[in-house]
Amino acid sequence: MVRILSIWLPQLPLDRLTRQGDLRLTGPFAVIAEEKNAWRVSHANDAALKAGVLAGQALADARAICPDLLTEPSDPVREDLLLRALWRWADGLSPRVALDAPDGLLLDISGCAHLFGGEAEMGREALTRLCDLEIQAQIGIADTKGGARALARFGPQDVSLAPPGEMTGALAELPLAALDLPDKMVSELARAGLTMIGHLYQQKSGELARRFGLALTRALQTATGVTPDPVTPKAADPTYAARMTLPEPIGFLDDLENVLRRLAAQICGRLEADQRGARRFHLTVRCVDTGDHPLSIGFARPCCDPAAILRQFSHPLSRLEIEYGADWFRLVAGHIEPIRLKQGSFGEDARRADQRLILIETLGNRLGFDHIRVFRPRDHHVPELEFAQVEAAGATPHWHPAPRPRPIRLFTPPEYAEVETPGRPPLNFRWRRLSFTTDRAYGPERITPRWYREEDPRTRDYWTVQTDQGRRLWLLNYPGEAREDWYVAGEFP
Amino acid sequence: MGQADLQSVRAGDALASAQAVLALGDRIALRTGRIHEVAGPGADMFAALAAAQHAQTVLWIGLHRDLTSLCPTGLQAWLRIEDLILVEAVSRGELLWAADQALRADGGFCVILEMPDTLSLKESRRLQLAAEQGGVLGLILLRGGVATSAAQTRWRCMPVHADQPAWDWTCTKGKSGEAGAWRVTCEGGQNGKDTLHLAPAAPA
Repeated sequence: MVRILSIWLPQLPLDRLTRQGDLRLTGPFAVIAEEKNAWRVSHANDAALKAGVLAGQALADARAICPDLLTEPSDPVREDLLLRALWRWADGLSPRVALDAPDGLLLDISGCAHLFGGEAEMGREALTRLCDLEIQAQIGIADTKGGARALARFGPQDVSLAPPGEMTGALAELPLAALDLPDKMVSELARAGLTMIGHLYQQKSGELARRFGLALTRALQTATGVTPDPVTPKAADPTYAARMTLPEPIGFLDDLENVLRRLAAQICGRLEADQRGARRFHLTVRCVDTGDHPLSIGFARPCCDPAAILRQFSHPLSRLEIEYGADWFRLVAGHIEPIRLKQGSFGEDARRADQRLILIETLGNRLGFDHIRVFRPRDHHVPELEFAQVEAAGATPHWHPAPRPRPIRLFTPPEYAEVETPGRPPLNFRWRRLSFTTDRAYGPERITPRWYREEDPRTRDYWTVQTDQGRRLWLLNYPGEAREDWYVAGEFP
Repeated sequence: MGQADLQSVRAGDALASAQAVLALGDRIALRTGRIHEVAGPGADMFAALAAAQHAQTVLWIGLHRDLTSLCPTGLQAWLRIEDLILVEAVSRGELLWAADQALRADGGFCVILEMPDTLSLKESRRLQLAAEQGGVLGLILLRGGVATSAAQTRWRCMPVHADQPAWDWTCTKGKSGEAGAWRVTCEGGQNGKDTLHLAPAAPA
């Protein structure tokens, strides 16, 4: 028999601020959120509720009703982080915990309740523990997810319990909103005289589906346990971090590397066991006199090798200035990715590919990963837009040849050439303080710009010029302009 | 005459057996695990051909303006663009450090360093030692002046006016006695691949 426990956290944003020790919560206080271009109250504390502020009210109305009201915009990211922290915390109650964003958790407690002395006792224990964390909650326990959620939100007590196998009876007295239906459907059902879940039992499901859609019957069937709706637990995202505190401060490079080696070995062991690797590592070194020094390194691929971490940290560590020593260290892995144990090639090729990535990491950690780049083809007809440079770390190299031969040096913007003997192309010109005489010229290759973009709207004529001096240049001219200026756009080999 | 001398000198060199040799065209040989200096307006082409012959990952190290003017749609005729990694440095110190790391790395790379000014003897000696440690092919494109250096060879590359695209490569310095001048032509037209023709332009 599957038993589900649903925890509803009705005031999560307010609890977050309470836990931070926000003194404004002693008076009327509300968390507001922008909804359809209007600021509305999303959560209000007891003092505000007593003064007449309601959740869902417009902020202007709430201020008119309660002039002392203090507000703060909601912070969905931090609230989600708190919920995720509680998700990890709920491991203590049951091993199968699912997130029920934005304000709830679902626990599969089949076979766990007896450890706490029964389901009701387990619910109360969870409430006590949450109360210690200064978080308000309501709990529903039922056979199904929908049923447990409905009982948690609309149940008569803080811990509402539906006896096993009696879902229909337990849900009959609850309002229809408990089924988590859209507001519009709830009001339509109310117009038809259906306000409680019990009212739906007397209706034929075919009729309900025809009039209100399959969503209603599906919600009813999953809540009453006619169709299965299991909890799909997902393990909470583990944080890969290790910390070390020393009784005496240390300052020698060898000692620091020893500490780092131990921390890295610890993290890498865990990463390896989970078949994961990290692309970034952050090391915080707390000096006794100057405070925290954050150091970071990056990798071109997910890494879980302590030796590589040590190698990349050796440069930032050697630049660290420690006068009186450091006694607290923390190493955190970031950008966690699964390591795909894929063998791309054998022997020498694999070793070369490894060496290439190691070199990208070494150079990138000092020069910056945005300074190590590879070429990427682009589908374009303008010469300087036929390719792009992208970061080499993380990019799989590929190239498809461009259709037309181009110079091997391309000057963007083109460099001005001073015409000495005019012609088309000029017979004599000066470029980079050198004189050139045209011998042969091929062209023009006319390229029209992208008129639909805000860029240089001039048509371009390119000429390949063999000079008497030997160099083969790519001359550029904009036809139809008042001044016939010539530019060197590139140089052929 | 020039090639014959080159071959015999290499055969007589005790180190040559330990060091791999990169044949460029079928006459010129560049030793890997060494740095080679290339000067002149045709230096890009020399570097591209040597890197293509080396057939490994190519690191092109330079300042912003040198790297942004590189055009892969032109280089694709000689180099595998997938194998090309650009390393942009913002100062002379970073440039030399990046080159040192790349030369030292154990991956058989081809390292091309665009040097905006003169390399001192000390700096080139350090790069040379790094290249010996890594066993890679190091090419230094000298954009500034030429000075005394620890490089194995120094080349002067000039594009020449001919019916086909052609270059004059002159070896102006060779530690093991390499010398000579070659006229290199590209027979398959503008971007013809693998159709290099080498002819000695002058005896060593």
